[in-house]
Amino acid sequence: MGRKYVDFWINLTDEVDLYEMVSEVKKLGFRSVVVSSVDENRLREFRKLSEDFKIEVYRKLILEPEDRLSLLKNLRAYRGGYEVISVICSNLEVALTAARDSRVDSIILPPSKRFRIDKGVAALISNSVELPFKWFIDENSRRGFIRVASEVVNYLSRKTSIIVSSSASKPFELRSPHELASLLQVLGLDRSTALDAVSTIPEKIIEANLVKLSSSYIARGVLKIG
Amino acid sequence: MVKRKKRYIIIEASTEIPVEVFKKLIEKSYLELFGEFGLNEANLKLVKKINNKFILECSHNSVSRAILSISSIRKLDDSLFCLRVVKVTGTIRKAREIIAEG
Repeated sequence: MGRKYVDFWINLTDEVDLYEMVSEVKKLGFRSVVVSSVDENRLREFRKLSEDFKIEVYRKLILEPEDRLSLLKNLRAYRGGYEVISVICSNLEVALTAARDSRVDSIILPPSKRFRIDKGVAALISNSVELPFKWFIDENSRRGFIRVASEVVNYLSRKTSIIVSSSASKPFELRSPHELASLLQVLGLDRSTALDAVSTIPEKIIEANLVKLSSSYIARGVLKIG
Repeated sequence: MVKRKKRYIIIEASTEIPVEVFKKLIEKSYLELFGEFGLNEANLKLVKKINNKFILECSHNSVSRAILSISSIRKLDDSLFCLRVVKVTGTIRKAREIIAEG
């Protein structure tokens, strides 16, 4: 059986034709998508449309906190309501906290970050690192994004898992799994590892979180049976 | 002389564009990302155009680079535009068959 491809971030904040978006996702070969949306009605509509196309939809929360305390406060408040939580790390303090907090699913390092990924950060990271492809498509952020992506691949690929998501807010910004994986291949990873970044790695995160969100979950490794 | 392995990338454009425009777009994008040496190494050649689908030949070592440069294109004359990689094949016959199948 072939790989099950997952787009780990689709942003539904812009006013786009949802039908066009879903049909494009299907055409590109994704079987699951993780969607962030401010508007609950649009998300519901997107989910309904996706059912017809047999695409699984999961909710994602993107946090961009200023400091450690606001990150922890948000995680405490929202962890139970979303299948996936990602943190955009605008400073080192947030990056270090998000990197080792098990409630965070992926950390996103922006192209304009003003801190280095050094041994200290690398030693602490236990969560996945997400690379949103939209920053690569955008000419203004491309150079910074490539710098961050190559840092991530060089210093963190052996330590942690990497995910590539489209982070598209328009159908034009969506890319196929092989196009997303080509970024990691160009940066030096082999084809199979690069494809894992758009299939097995995000899938495992979602599966683990669905178990945690289910009513039978009690604690790590403890499930209520029957 | 060692025969160079080639790959054929089937690309679909969001709107129909002339061959010259396509060639320019691809070369410009590849050049921006990988430079003159990379472009020379990739040996990009446009083999065929059928409606809005193109078959691009490249050396097999440069497939992922070619795919990345194709996917980085998002604008054509200030309007939104994109190229999608449909399939990568090892023979031109297979590429033609895939296009014919639709």
